[in-house]
Amino acid sequence: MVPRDIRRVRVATMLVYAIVGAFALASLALPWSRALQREAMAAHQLEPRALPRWVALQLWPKMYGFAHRVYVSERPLSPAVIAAEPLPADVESAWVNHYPARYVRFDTRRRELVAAGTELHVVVRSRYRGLEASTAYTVHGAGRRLVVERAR
Amino acid sequence: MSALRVTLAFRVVAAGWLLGWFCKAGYYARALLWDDFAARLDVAGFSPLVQYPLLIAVAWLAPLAVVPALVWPRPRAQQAAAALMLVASLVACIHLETFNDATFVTSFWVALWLLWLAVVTPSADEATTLAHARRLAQCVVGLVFFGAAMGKLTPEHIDGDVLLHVYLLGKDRFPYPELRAALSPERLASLARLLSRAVIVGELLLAASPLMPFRVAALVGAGMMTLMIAGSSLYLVSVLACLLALLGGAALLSAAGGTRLRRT
Repeated sequence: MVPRDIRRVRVATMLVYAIVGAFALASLALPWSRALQREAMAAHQLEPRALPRWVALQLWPKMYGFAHRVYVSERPLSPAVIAAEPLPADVESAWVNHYPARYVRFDTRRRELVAAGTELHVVVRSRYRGLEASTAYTVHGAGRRLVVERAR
Repeated sequence: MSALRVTLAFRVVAAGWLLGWFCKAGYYARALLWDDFAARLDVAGFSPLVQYPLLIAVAWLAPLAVVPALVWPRPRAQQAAAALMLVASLVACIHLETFNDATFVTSFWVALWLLWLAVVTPSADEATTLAHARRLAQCVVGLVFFGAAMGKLTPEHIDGDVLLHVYLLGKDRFPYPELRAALSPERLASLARLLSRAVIVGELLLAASPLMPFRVAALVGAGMMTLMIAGSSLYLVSVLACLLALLGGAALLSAAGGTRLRRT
């Protein structure tokens, strides 16, 4: 008969190993699994997911991975506009280390944007091993909120 | 003596965790306690829960409550502190105001280790605690860098395009403007390719941490992470401080030698 304290230690320890192992397996499979690549890309692109799946995706360490670029302009951004080289002068663009969709928050000038009521257009593009995702957002102030919508 | 070792290890890891968590306080205090309330984020398709300003403000401030557990260490207080750190980092990982910051991902995994230590130490024997504390710390470091390395196994990283544009062409602080002035575009691209591959190899080495003897893993981990901070930005302190402290704390436990770890 295993004492209760010892059993608690074993269960707690095995549980932590199992959780770490499950996430490590996901990372191991990432280069070969299109399904996992799409899920990771969805997180980088801020694609809505059911809460449990969003939690799992966010706890999965994937920092500074994939290739990302973000485009911002006051006019709608068509594929032709963001494919232009060089980009038009009214389109800002940057390469981003991860989570390019964070740009839709406009962290450093959100209050000014909301106060001005300006509508901005943001496109975020991510690539990984031949898989590419692109999402267009419109961002505008409404009351005391910054409303972020996926463009249709 | 042995209980002091556990307490010291807990304090070192928790202090490193708090350093990483709050070292960008200048930014987060304004963003989460002021801007977020003045201009609330409303992203279509996401639960209001992960956008609620009060939730992330409380979650970001909550770890301040950990400090008493460091000053007056009691098993229950340490368990509560570690659980609080785990929940706070979980919230920060999923909230849309903070979801992109790797600080909170590393914080979550280190908090999980702290909670495990606080839960098992009162009951486990010395050999069990020592062996698993070291191995789990190595697994956490390995997990974080394994995910980072696997995400870079794509031509854009292997050929250096991402590093070229994000750092060599995209940053305006030392040494990047100097490099742009000194090197031709072709040499810059070559340098980016070389550095990017070095980063991938370095991360794969850290990912192999669980396969190494603890002393080697701790030395390699501390050396590589310090290099990353020096070569990237002090902002990386917020991401890596808790991992460095984790290796340090596990090393302190190892230094307990033949003494028993059970609390008195």
